[in-house]
Amino acid sequence: MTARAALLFALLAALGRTATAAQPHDTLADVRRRGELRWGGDVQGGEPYAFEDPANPSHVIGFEVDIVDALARRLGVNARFTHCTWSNLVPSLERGDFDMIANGLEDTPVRRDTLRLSRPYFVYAETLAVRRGSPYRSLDALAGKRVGTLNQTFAHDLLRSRPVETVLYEGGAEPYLDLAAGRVDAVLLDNLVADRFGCTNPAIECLPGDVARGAYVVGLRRGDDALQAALDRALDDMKADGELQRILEKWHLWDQRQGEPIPLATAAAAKSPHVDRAQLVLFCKGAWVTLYLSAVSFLLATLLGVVLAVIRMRGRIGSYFATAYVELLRGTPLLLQLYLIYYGLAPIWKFDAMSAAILGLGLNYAAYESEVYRAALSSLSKGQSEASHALGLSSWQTLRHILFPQALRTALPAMTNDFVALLKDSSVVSVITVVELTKRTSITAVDMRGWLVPGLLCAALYLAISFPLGRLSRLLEKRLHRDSDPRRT
Amino acid sequence: MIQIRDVHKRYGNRDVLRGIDADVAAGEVIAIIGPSGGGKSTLLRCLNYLAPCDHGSIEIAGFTLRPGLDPAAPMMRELRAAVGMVFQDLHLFPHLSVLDNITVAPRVVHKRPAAQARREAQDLLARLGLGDRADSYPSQLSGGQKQRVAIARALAQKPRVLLFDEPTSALDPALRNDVLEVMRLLARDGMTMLIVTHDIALSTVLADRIWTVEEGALTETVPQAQTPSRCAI
Repeated sequence: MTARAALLFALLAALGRTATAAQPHDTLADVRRRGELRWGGDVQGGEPYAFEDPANPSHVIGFEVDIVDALARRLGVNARFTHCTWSNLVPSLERGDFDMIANGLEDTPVRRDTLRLSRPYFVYAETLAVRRGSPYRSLDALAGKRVGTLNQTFAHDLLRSRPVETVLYEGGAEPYLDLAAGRVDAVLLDNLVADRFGCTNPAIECLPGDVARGAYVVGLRRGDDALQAALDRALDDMKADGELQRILEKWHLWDQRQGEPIPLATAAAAKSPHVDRAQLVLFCKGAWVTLYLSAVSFLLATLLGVVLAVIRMRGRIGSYFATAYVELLRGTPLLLQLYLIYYGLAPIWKFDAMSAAILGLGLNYAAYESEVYRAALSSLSKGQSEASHALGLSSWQTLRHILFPQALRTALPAMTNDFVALLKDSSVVSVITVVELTKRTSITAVDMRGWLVPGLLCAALYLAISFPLGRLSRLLEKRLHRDSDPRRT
Repeated sequence: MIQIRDVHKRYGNRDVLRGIDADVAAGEVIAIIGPSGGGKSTLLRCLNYLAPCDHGSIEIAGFTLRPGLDPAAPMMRELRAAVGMVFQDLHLFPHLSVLDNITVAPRVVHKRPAAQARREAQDLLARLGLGDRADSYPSQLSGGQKQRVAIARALAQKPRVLLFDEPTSALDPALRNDVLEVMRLLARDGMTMLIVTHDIALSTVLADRIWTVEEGALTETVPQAQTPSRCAI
């Protein structure tokens, strides 16, 4: 759901960008006239970047909040924070939702091409974390192993240039949970994230030595030269008069790296500026994952749905449990259920990501399917089961030979609907690291810096799956209704 | 063949049957008449245990029925094969062909080989004048043909007693005679039959005895024609 919303949003952003690019205007003048410097960040990035104050959740705090406040003060205006999902920060900036980004945005050659970047305000190190006692002591030793990181980070670029299997996460805590659970072999992330979520875990060991260093910078729209000059001047002043150091010390972030010369992080992975054969192969793989995932989980949903429907039709005590199951699974978000199965159950049972995804989707959709079958079964006349019993068929034989085949005819259109819905909902499983079609699209879109082509390709692939399915279902429906086909009389 | 002893049946707080006593000898044809809601259909359903009686007992085709039997017991399978039923609304299975409607119970319940079940069903259909309809679906049949398929479905179990619930109520006169002819042939072959009906003519022509069920009580009469039914047609 969110992935689809993001896709639509990004498509609109791509269209909007061509419109705004035609008339560059002076954002600095706007900021001064408005008296407000609007900046974007993702509160989910968590401590210490920009996050909700636990004591007052409507209030955002963090070292970046303090830095932007100081910058705004030096420009003679107020700072105003806008929350935005991290992966959408750049498109939102380009759309004009805010004037700048200050949220762990790394200085990379790719970003230099897309955006205007300020001088650095923080020097970070890429930290490699492994399970305590792990034999892997360096990135080189991890060839062929699973290494977790966050999507669209410099660490992601670094990993892509290496022969490791990269596992992508959306939040800082999850890669370390999976590392402790043994579902990845290492995690490569900025030292701030590692210190906060990883190194404090007794099961995890953060290896000494920086895999790479880089700098966090303020991101601006291209053409905002005046604003960049003003911010650079303010940052220089903050370094000179010690305010930057005071802010970083307040957040326990001041280390000797901050005084050392800053290396420019070199882009590790070769970027694909257009959709080539390799990208097409990746898209088809994504489509296969989506299809496989949807088919297997729908099978699970169907089987469990039938069982639930029968239990509910029977009445007695079991029906209370079945009804409770349906209400619970239908009444809570699929996303939450996936998190609970993948991360919540990890101490008891460690599902791999694909199994957790199939289980989550299957259990969730079983609740909907059971309602479909229940409705279909109760639409049959009572006489059908009575006639069957009068012939000596047992309850099970009656279901199997008389009621199910007839209910299937009624249920089939609704089942097809649900399968297509599941196909699209399956994009949610990217939160537990499964790279399916929509996730593949968002990764490529970021690489290509445009959503239009990958978005349309993705849509085409979804359609290529769902459209034939609809035809197949209609064909099957016709076959099941052959008895009422007048041509056969 | 059938002994009904002091059978009571309640639905909610309504006494539908209030102590029924009756006997049927093998090969007899009984017409059950009476006003709607008088308990005719309920009595019929008690005989194959679709509606378990609350009190009393029924001996039928060698089975003893009393309150509280397990409907899933193996004995029920045998009972329902021995006591066939043809419903008022027939309840043919619309998703199955005529042949499958007839063979489903022999194959599924009695595990007869498919080929044998099919052969026997074909014979039955031929006897009932439906030899060319084996592959049709119920929706493609006329009302009289459906009725005969429903009878064939019950006969495929080789029952010793056949229960009919309003067999002719939905048929126009021509088709009604069709079905009557089938039932007459069954009677001639010695089938014990109980027929719930509003059709006075049917009961006179076909029945050896007439039971009138009214307000849950049974009174017995002999058909007015006073002639043994089997010679009447």
